[in-house]
Parts: sequence; C-alpha cells; structure tokens
Amino acid sequence: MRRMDLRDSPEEAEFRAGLRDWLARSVPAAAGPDGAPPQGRWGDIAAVRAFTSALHAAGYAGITWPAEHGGRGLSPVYQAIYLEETARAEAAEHIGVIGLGMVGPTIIACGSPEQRGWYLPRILSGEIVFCQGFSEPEAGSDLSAVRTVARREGDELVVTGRKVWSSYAHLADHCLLLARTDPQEKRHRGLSCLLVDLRSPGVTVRPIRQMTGEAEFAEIEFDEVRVPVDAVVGGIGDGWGVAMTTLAHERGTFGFTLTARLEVAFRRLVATARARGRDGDPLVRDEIAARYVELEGLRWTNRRALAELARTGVPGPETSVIKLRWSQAHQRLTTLAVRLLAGGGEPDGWDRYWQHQMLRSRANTIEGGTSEVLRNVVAERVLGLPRSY
Amino acid sequence: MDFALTGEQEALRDTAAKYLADGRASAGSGQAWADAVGLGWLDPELGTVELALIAEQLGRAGSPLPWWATVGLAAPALGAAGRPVRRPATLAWAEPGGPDTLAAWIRAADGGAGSVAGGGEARTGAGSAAANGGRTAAGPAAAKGSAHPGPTCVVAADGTVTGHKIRVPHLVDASDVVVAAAGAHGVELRLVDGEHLRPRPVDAGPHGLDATRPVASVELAAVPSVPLVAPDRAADVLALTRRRALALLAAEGVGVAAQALATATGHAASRTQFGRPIGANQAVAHPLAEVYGQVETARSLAYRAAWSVDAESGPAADLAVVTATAAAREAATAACEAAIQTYGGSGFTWEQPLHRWYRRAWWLATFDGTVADFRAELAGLLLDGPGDTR
Repeated sequence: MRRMDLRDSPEEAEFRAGLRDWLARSVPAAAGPDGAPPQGRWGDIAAVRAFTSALHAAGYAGITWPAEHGGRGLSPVYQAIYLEETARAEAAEHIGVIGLGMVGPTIIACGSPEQRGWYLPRILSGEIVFCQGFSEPEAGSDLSAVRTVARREGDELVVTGRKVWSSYAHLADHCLLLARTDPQEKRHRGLSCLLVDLRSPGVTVRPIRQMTGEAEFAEIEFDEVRVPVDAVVGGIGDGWGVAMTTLAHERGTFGFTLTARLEVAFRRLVATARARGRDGDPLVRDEIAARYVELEGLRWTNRRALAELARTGVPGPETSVIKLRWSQAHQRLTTLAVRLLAGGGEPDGWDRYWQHQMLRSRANTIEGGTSEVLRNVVAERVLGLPRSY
Repeated sequence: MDFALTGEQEALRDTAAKYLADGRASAGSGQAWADAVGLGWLDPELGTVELALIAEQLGRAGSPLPWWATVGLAAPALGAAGRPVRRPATLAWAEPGGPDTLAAWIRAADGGAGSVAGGGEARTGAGSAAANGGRTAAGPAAAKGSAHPGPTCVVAADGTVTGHKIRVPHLVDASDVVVAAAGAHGVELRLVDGEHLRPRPVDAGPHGLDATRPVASVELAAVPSVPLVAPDRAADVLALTRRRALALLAAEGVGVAAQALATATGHAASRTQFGRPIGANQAVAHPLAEVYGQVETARSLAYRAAWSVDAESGPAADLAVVTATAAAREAATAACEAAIQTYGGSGFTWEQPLHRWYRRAWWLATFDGTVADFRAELAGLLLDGPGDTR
C-alpha cells in the first residue's frame, strides 16, 4: 500500500547520488580567495557554454521532456532533484534556461512536427539559445495589450515593434515572440506566437542596465523583420493560448529552482553571520530563524504541490503562492545580510556579493508576475473572490 | 518522495470534518468523548500524520474536546507503560519555581541541568542535544551557564506524589493524569487518578483566553500514584511527548487559520458596500491572499513535522516540529486578525464567533513558549553547531 513518504524512493536516491557524484566532478570551483561567490550567474559565458555541453552529454538536459523528443521522460520529481542538487553544488545553469523550461515544452505542446524536429534537439544541446519576447513598454502585467505587429505578406510575416525585459536576450539567438497578427482584433484575440531568429535583418538587441549595474535583460527592437509563416507556433491567432502554455511552464517546477537558490542564500547568510561575529546577537538569531521558517515553508510546499502534480497532472492551488512568498523571503534575507555586514570586519568579496544580491532582489516582487498580480490571481482563482477593479 | 495523503488519510479527515460540522461534537459532553472513541480517534495504530489530520479538523471546528491533551500529552507515557488510552487524560509538568516547559523537563530528566548547556534561548530537547553529540553546547547561550531549577514535585518511597503543578491543560476533564516528578533515581512519569485531585481552574494569563481549553493548577499532597515511565526512559518519552504535542498543535493552528480564512473569504464575497462586494477591493482581497500563502506553507510544515515525528531521528524531528510550530502559530493569529478586520464592526462583536478562533489562536501562540522562544530554539539548532546547517 502506498504511504506518505517524504524521503527519496530508491530510484530517486540513486538518481540524486549519481547527479551529486557527477556535479562533484564537473563543477569548477568558482569562489574567490575570500570564499565569496562570483558576481552574477552568467559572469563567464564560455564556462556556461562548456557546462551546458557537459550537462547535455551526461543526460541532464531535458529531464522531464518526453523521450521521443530527446528528453529522459522522467517525472517532475527528478527535475526537482536536479534543480536542488545543481543549486546546492552552486553549478552554472544550462545556457538555455528559457528554451529548456518554457519554449521547448511549448513547442512540444503546440508546435508542428517540423518545429519539434528542428528546434528541440538544438535547445537541448545549447546550440540555439532562446529568449522570450512577451512584455512591451505598454504591455507589462497586462500582456494582452501587446502592440508589436506581424503583418502578412505572402509566405512571410513582417514584424515591427519593441519588446522589453527579455531575460538573457543578449545571449540568445532566438526568440519566442508574441505579436498581433490581426490588427482588427482586440485584447486576447488576433495574437500569434512566432519563433524568430534574432540574427535576422532588422533586429536590434539593447541590454538594459539594471540598478545592480549589470544587464541580464534586454530590449529587442524589430524593424520590418521578415519571418516565414511556418515559424508560427500553433495556429495564426492562437497566440494567447500558446503564451499561457509558456507561462504555465514558468510557474510549474520553477518554484524548486527559486527555493533551491534560497537555500544556498540561507547557507551563505549563516556563514556571513558567523564570519562577521553577529551570530550571538539575539535579534539576528531571531531573524535568521524566521528566514529559515520561510525557506522550509517553501521547500515543503513545493513538495506538496509536486505530489499533486504527479497525481493529477495539474499543480495544486498552493503553487500559486510560492513565487509570491519566495520573493518576499528573498528580499528579507538579502536585506538582513547587508545589515550583518555593517558591523565589523574587513570588507571583502562578501560585501560586494550581498550588496548585489540585495539590489537584485528588488526585482523579485516584479519579474515573472508582480506580487500585486499574483495576489489578484490567488484572490480570484483560489479563494473565489470577485474580480477586482 | 511522495507528499500526498493516502485515500485512508483523506477519508479519516473527511469523516472528521463531516462529524464536527453537525455541532454534536461542540457540546464537550460525555457523548462527544464517546463519539471520538467510536470514530477511532484514540486508536493506538494511528500515526502522527493521521492524528495531525484530526487535530486540524478539531481546530477548524473550535472543539472543546480534551482529545489533544489525551493523545498529545498523556498517550506517549501511557503507551510506554502498555496502558490503554480510552479515558480523557493529560500531563502535569510545569511547576512554579521548578522546570517550567517540556524542554526544561527533558533536560531535567536527562540527568539534570549540567548535562546540556543552553539557557532560555537554546531550549533544545535534551534527547536531541545528546544525539547531536553536544552540538548545542557551543553557542552563546552556553555562556549563560546553567541555572535550571530542579523539580520540586517529588515521589515518596510509598509511591505517593507531593508538589504543586500549574497550567495543566484539561485537568478538569481528565480521568488519568500523568505527572512528571522527581523520584529517588531521577525524573519519572507516574499516573494519578483524576478522582484524587482538586484542580483549581485558572482564568488569568494567556491560557485563560480560551475557555474551551481550560488550564488548572493543582496541589498534590501525598497523592497515590502508579509508575509509568522509569528514570532511564523518562527523557526519551518526554522528548517524544513534546514532539507529538507540538506537532498536533501546529496542525490545530492550521485548522484555526483555515477556518478564519474561509469565514473571512465568505464574508468578503457576500458583503456589499458601495454597490459591490467588499472582496472586489484589492485592499480587502490582498491581505486574504497573503494569509492563504501563510496557511498553505504552515500546512506543508505541519504535515511534514507530523511525518517526521514517526519517521525521522530525534534531532531531525525536533527541527521539523519547532519550524512547524513557529509557522503555524503565526498563521493562526494572523489569519484570525485578518478575518476580524475583514468583518469590520461585526467582527468585533460577541455574536460573531471569530473571537472563539482568535482566543484559541492565542492559546496556541503561548503554549509552552512563545513564537519568539521557538525561533530562539531554532536559532540554537541552526547556528550553534559546527559547519553546515543541514
């Protein structure tokens, strides 16, 4: 008889052990002499590319993708283990995070056989790198307000418009673009999703410099960019449904990535408190314990949602609060860390690291659905409250 | 890795919810206790996860049943002695001038204050501290030295117990009373018949907030008792008692919070002002969305703690239980406060029963330590050992 068991099954434990072993051999030490982590996750692109190839060769790319599309065909539990272990090992990411996590699954669900055949293996290997072109200056939380137009001309669509806040766009060579193919239609209708090669004439990618000083996001301008009609995912006019498929994948097991990173951040918080001699301060101890309770709440809610996903194919309603609570927890953690550094000790790489993390965490309550939008989603879809104004 | 309830567990939860919804169980009468026995809520084969599901539903219903005191506080000692658990029972531990919390009793039972460092801040269970190989001894709390008072309640050579116990939950309801006391060879747990006691109900202090979970003081003057747990096992049984009792209260807190949230949500959807339901205002809806997040994360932690009590080692279970305790207690008070605010003026009235859950939430928030005390214990577990945090 099945019993609730929060431990790894023998198969899961074997997968975890094999992955740990592989990571121990494959992740280069990246910390500086003071033990502080390097800036950003994408500091050394050549290293990220090399790690991507190694991941792919070892069979750790596309863990949950169906075997017929080059994946391992494993359940989301294995993806969760992968995300936890790579974060704990402080490994780099597969360069195609957006492609693996969002665009690939969208092509699997909605794409044509030709699209699957061409794009999927290249996403897995890291040969092509996708970004996502959804948000616009006038279409942020209200995505249905997109103004980028794809005009039909024979066998081609001619794209003109501007996309913003596209993660990793400066590294990407392809973009999943949401554009209006029928200018007569309003809001959710008349939209299409296109697979666009960013090396096409008329495309300009401009990195957006963030308050941290770095540029993880970019603005993409499309000026009469010609795209073949067969680059449309799903049908022309089906763009809204396709985009929602993509975003559902963003909110799927992504909670494991976020939480695994928070776990690493917590470990570093404890190390910083000790290194700066602040671990005896009762107020600091109280805050560290509170951050731990938040972290654990996320960890076990992820697992509960995962069990629901495995059982029913649909993530449980509790999934909707993970990103909301993670973003708050991470902001509290990073601001606490910066306060820990204010006391004593010789400033070192950790000061730089935490200052960067603190500034970067301000985006957490904005990116991937603002907290205000997420509270609306919970209020309306989970609690069943009336639509707000 | 499978964090889903089984069909049996879901059925147990749903049956409890159905039974509690019809009001029979709120009477606090002998019939309600007989019903609880009949529903199998005292069966020894129930694991802590199953008990947590019942506790959650009892919290939702605001039940006055002395079930938690029986299965959470008394059953571990009764079970260790091979005695059946059929009648309402409780545990008497806290003493004025003696060990106050369950954690303090675990330390006392583990060979006295000297064996485990850590004062009020590091309220680590002695069982866990011993199994940690003295991890908890390194922290700043250790510097405070050990000023733990010893037990004042004593067992005489003829087996009678003499002493003063305070804050005993459901003592007025209990037929069987497990008493922690010092014998000739250390702390032991003994059974006293409730008939022999004259409890003095106490309505002062935070515990007086909730009349459905009464506490009482009692003077034991050479009261006859029978042995349950000898000194060599008392620390282990008390450590299990603490884990079990706290895990069940965490689940109960989740039930209280869930009930407050459901009540508030219903009101926000139906109460109309300015021509629309008040829940259409984000200023009303968003705090409830936040509470939902708090309740669901606390629920995950409470179930995980209950699982851990049966499935994991002492130190791991202590960490899980203390974490769940902090989360669930905060969720319970926060959910009730949000609900009262959602109701506006009517939420402040006696007739609107929200205050019943709010009273229970505060009872929970102060039982055997405050949320800050449990966070201090957690900090001890996380910070005062060498190396990694997990």
